Amino acid sequence: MHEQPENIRRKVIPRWRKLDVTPKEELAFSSQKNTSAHLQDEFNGLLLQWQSSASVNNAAELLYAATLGFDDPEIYHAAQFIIESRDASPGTKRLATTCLPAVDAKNEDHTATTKTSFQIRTLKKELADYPRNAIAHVELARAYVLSGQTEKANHHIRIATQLAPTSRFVLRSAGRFDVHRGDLERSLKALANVASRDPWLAAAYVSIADLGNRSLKKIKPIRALLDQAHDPAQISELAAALGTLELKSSGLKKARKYFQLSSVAPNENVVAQLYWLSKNYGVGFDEQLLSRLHAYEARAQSAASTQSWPIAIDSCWRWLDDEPFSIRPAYEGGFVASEILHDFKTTQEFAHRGLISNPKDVGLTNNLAYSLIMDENLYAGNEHLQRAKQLAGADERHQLILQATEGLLCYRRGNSDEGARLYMSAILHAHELKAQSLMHLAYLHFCFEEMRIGHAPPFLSLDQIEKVFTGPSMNKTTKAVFENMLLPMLLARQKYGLVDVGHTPSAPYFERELLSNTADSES
Amino acid sequence: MADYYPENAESTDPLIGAKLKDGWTITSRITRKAKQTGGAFSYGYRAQRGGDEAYLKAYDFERVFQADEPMKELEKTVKSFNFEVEVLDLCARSNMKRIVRAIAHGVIDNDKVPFGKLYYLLFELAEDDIRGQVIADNSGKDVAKIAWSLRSLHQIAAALQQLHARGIFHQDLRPSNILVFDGHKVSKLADFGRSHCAAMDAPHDEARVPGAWRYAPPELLYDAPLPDKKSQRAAAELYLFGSMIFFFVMHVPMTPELMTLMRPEHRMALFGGTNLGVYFRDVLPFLVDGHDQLLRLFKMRLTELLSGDQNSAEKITDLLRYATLPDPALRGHPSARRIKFGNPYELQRFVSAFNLIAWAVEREAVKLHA
Repeated sequence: MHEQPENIRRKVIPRWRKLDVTPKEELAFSSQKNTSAHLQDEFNGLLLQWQSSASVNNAAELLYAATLGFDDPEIYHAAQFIIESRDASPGTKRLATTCLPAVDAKNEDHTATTKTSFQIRTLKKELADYPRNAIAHVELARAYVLSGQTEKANHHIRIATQLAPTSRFVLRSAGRFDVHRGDLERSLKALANVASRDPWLAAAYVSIADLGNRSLKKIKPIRALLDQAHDPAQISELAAALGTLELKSSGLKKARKYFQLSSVAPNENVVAQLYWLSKNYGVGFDEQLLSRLHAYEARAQSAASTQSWPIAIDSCWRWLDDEPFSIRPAYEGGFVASEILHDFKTTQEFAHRGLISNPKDVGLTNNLAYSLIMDENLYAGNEHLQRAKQLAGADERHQLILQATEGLLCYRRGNSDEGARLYMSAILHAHELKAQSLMHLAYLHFCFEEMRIGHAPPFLSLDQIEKVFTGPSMNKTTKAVFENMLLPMLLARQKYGLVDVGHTPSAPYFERELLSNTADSES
Repeated sequence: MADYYPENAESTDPLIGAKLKDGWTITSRITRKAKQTGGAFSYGYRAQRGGDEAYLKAYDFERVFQADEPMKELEKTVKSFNFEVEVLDLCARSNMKRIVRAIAHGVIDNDKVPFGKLYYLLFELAEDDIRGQVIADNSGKDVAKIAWSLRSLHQIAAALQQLHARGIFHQDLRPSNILVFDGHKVSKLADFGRSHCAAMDAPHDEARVPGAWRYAPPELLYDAPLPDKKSQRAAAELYLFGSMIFFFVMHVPMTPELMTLMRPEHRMALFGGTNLGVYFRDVLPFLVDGHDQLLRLFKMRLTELLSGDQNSAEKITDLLRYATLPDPALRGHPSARRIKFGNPYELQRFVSAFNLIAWAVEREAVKLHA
């Protein structure tokens, strides 16, 4: 069966995007003073000079000054003048083109493959010529992570942090990388020194320390940053990170003020955090926030909760494109595609994409195996299943999921007895681990396979199954899986009166568990 | 108030025909619009004495009246005039051949200008500034053009080195201040209105950016100069020289090109400080990234202009990199930086390197166009 995405205790871990798509708030500074009078005088003088005498030289000088960040309609006139002039050199014309308003680029299709290997080659060549470029080291590290070469990425991240030990972009990227690699200490050490000076670095520091359950140093100056910034967008992520920390240690009452502060001008990471908070703590959530740029994670989860499955899939793709090395979008998208929509090709795509950056992830390998078996590709499915078993080691949760997938393989190979044994073992295992939703999911798959080969559903009657899985206490996701996977089969069986050939394996624990669930729902 | 320096109609200019000392007469106007230099505005005229011609820089006191505080402005303009006169005098006494020669200066009575006094400086007349030669020449002889550019850069580096030896920093090196003479064979530095001289105080000595902002090095734009003022002046001068290397090939100075590669939020940061964040140190990695991109473009273009001569293109690109590294603490020729108590920003290595490369490329150009 497909591994169900866990309801994680979400943290505001910094995103790691390419420089050209990093939101401007993350790179901007907290406050701005007025333009220097001398600079303004210089610009005004050049503007006057251009207006009284329209020559290439005057236009060029005006454009030189404009690149410092001025905005005036005359700049566009001067740029147009240069572009149309015969006397202007190609270099000046190129500069003039950059001064004209940019034409909006079309959004890239989410299925467009990232040319990572080309990017790696280019960046390596660039760094061979100019090795002190910290940004290029970070971009190369990201490309390596995307291609699953974590140790090479680690090498370049370390160089970047040495070249630019205080850079916000570099340190936040390094922080996200260390979370991906599971080595939090280095980032915590680097961030601890600068966290009290910059709200974005402070947000990364608080979240990573919270994730690793480490104690925070200099928490007072970090909290004081919230009062110093003039722009609420600059402190939104820090407020959300502090709120999440407070939520864990003191509860919602104390955390609420931080979340309120973070919701004034949230970025997409904070929007996802606020959505998570609303789902798990019942705090109100402004649906309009879902329209924020890059808010794919929150959009995916919102769409799933309203059962808008195609939107959920699309949002997961976009989330995965935005954070290609993250496992969660691959899990969530794959789960919806396979368990709800039965689109196993899409499930395979999600698993493949996730495995590029996380080649040793057991869950994704299992998901790939499961979707291949469901897609009647038993040979390849078995290969991935064996690999997943090798990778799983002693992890009990993974073992029970793999048992269920192996049960499926046995059924598809025609060995239903062994399949049933494995499914029942997985169900028992899940019950022992008190993983109720996994137990339900395994049972649904077991029923599906049994009914597919013409047997009656195990343990429970058709009515009982319907009652159990549509009851109000049933997990929403499991309910949706039941409605989309098993219910059509149950309805068909009821409608056409198909005869059960009889199969009543004994599983007392599970039977009692399911019936108690029914009793709960009835009471 | 009468318009003493009419902007458009030359025929109505009251200074045309004015007699100066030593028999010079103002004959025509050169600069159409006022040019700001050294905090003061000036106009350019052509002056004649018999068969000799000269360039006259007339200080504009009209603008003093238009300022919010006219007396302060007047003091500043007079100080700027006196400072420039003294710097030019020092250059002339030091026999600096790569500096535009000041023929005369003075104040004459002229009832047509404010205060009845015309402050002027008289220079040898240039054929053009380098923009005319670099941008407008479409002869298609790329190697010859680069050979000329390299020779010009050699002369500029030599001029700057001479100045530095006398404790003078030009501080406003840009294409319009590099003039060409003698059939475009000789390049000389002009306009010392924003310069610094160790021997005398200038009204602009405390300015954050002494020259034009649009050409200034990044550390000055982002208000993060080196703690030692002398080092900062030398580092900035080296950057401006590097910016000219870039201009000769790309036809655009370094700073505007660098700024176009910066994200808008980083360009906006030019407009002030921040109460949070690390600021210049935080922007620096992006400047380094942009700088590397420009170097690649530069090398590619130069190789093309030199008809595939990779070796020379690489050498010149390296010189450009040493001169324009965005971090002033790392700027300078590596050979100069290696000397323990030396000056990392000294120009001697650049003078020698440009001389050698110019010589090699000149030979190549002769062969090609023979």
